[in-house]
Amino acid sequence: MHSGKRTDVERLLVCVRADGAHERLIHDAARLAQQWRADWVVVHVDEPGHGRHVADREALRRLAALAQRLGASFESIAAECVAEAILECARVHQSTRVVLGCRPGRLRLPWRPSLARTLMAGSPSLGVMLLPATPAPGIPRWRRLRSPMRFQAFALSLLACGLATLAASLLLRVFDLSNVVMLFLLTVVLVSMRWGRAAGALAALVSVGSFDFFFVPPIWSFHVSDTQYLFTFALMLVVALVTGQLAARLRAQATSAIAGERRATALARVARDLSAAVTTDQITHVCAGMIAPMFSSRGALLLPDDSGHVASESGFDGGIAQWVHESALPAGRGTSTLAHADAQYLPLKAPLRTRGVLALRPESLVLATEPDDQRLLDACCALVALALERIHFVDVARDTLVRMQGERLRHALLAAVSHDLKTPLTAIRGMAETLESTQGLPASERDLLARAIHHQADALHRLVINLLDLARMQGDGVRLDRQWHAMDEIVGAALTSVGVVLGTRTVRIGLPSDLPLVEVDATLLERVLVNLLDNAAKYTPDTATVWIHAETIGDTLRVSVDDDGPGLPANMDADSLFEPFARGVKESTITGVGLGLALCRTILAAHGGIIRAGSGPLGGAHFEIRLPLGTPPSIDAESPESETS
Amino acid sequence: MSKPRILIVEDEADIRHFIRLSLEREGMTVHEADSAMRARIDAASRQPQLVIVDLGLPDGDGKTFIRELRGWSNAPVLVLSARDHEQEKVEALEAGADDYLVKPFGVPELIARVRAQLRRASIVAVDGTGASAMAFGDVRVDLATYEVTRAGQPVHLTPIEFRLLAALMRGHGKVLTYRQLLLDVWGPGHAERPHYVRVYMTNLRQKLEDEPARPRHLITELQVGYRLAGLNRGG
Repeated sequence: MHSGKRTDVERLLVCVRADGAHERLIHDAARLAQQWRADWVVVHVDEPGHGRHVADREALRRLAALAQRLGASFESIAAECVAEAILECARVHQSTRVVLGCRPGRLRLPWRPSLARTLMAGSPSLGVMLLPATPAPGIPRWRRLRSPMRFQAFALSLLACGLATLAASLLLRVFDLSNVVMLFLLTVVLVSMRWGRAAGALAALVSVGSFDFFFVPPIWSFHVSDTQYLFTFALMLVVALVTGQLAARLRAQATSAIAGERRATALARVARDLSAAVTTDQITHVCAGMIAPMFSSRGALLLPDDSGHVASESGFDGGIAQWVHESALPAGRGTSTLAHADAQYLPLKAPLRTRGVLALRPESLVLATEPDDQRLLDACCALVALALERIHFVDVARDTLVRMQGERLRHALLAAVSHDLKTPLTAIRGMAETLESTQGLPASERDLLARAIHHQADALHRLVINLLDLARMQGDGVRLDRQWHAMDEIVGAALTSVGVVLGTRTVRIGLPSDLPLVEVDATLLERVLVNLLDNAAKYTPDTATVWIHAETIGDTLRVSVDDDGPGLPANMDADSLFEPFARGVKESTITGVGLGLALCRTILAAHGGIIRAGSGPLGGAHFEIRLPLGTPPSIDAESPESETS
Repeated sequence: MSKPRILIVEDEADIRHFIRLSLEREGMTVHEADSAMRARIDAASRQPQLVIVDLGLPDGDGKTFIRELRGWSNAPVLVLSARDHEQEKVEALEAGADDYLVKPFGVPELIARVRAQLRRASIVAVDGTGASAMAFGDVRVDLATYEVTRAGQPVHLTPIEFRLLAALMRGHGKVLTYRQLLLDVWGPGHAERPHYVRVYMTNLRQKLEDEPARPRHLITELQVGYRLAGLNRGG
């Protein structure tokens, strides 16, 4: 059910913390959303300095996965102020209600207003709901401090305080005691920036203690002789804590900004490369060479074939990939389905359908658990899916174009052919009907008519042969019957086929006696020569001479047909002669749609050869065929001593 | 000499009609059959001296009819076939046909082929295996003495060239397929090497023809085989 921007529909904004307790909140919110048929969004506000712990990130990742599985979209936004971020988010999503988790019995500082109150103050029209979020039976918060990182940070901050004390004791010989305080403050700021808020707080306490113990008289004692130093201590502690916390926050923001910057750059690079991709191979390359390394993984793009079967790749489970492709849900490592697989399989969901599966196998044991990384990965998947869909439609468009051109060609062919077929048919029919009544028809006229019918039928026959051959050559998959043939036999057969058409024209043949055999479809090559000779007969006077020559040039065979007729039209591109329906002389009485030369080119192309037209040395037409020469099969030589004489 | 009896087996009435008209004008007696079944009956009852068979018959394969006919008759068989069916022609020739014509064919060509086949049949009938000395054009060949002359000058042929020429001459104008020639000249081991025949035929044409690319006697039937045209008895 698609709600669009309708105002009568509830839209929930569920705010979660990186805490396992909020899983229940998401479940409850899902039920609410289902009851109200509401759209719902789960949002997590990433406060600087919060939720950096591995367990927090893991919890957040699980929350995101849960929300997505239950039909919500999940967002994690980085912001300074939680309430402002939630209000902004509610505005963007046009949410009607905000759902917050509350933990009963949790201690609250009396001077801090609750989040719910702040939200209601910020947007009075927004309904705020509080749902219980029971504590997770996970690791208690204080226990987490024992992580080795924290321990190291505390040790180092203590060391820094010790060094500061040492430096202060040296400086005290030159400076006044009040300057020493500044040195300690500087130390606290530096420690906070380097090792975070907790370490900074510790450094502040230790610094005050150290100042009291080593420098405030009486020295070597925590006793204070002058009560005004108590004020100094208090002031020093507050200033140290505040500046320390500010410094730590600044650093956390900078770190998060740098990470964000890094992700944005990476995403921009992926987007640029994907938008430049024009083939599926290029997309595969981007996935394996760019996206996978971003997540320290080995990656593969698994694409379905026409029947929807996803191609399998070594190292990846084809079954999982197939399931992911069909269900459009992620599976494998780090997801809720088949989490024990050693790779992650993500569906590439394009607007119209799933276009494939991106499989990532992490090189180390950790996978992108950072929610930001997960979002980056999702963004990459969306980009890849869009690129795949774009290429799919480019292909579709190209196919359509080719089909349209084919259609246009067919129409032109039909128009031309119907003209060229009807002309001889009309003539034949008319002449035959004339012959039906012999009354008043002199015998000589009768003979002429009969001969004309004969010639028209021959012309029709040649046209039909060319048409059939062209249709056969352009049908699916030309089957060539290639055998090793002697060129003189093919030339001879062509001359026999042309027969009387050449009339009184002289034909001169120049075939070297040592021409090698050529591997060709003899029937088709004969058609080429017949068409060339036919052309010579059509476009030259009866007194013309036609030459047929053959020779080997390097590893090709060159066969040329020349005549001393008028030659090709001067204003005509020789290459366009080989387009179907091209004819040197427009709309002449000479029939034959110009199919002949198109057929010649098709036949030569099928043989891996070429055909060219040009002007001969005598100004006539010059046609030249080039065929690749293979290695002819060996012939067992006859033993010379057994020769007869 | 009595009128030659010809049997036409063709399902298309118009084609049958014009063949009949042209052959009767040449003084032959013509019988018509429009199906393979009718043809079997007519071939047995009329005892034709030559049979013209269309390969595409409505009630059966023309090749089967030819094979049956060859079981009891030596009458030459002329096959009518469509273009582009080289394999069909080869099969018909190997089933026992003697020559073929591609549709559409001309009447003069048809009559020439019919006459050539009738003449060949009469030569074979008179001489049994045929005379040893024969001639075509200005070439004289004595199969017994292996002597070949062209315009009176001796021509040197290799043994294979001579055997190939002899095979064509024994055919007396019958179209011999590559396979038949390979079996005859080279033996069963070479049956699948048609390029052997092509190479040696090229040599023969260069030695015996005036214009090898436009042969008048050693005729190429492209993709099918060869035929020796214009053979005369005597030498």
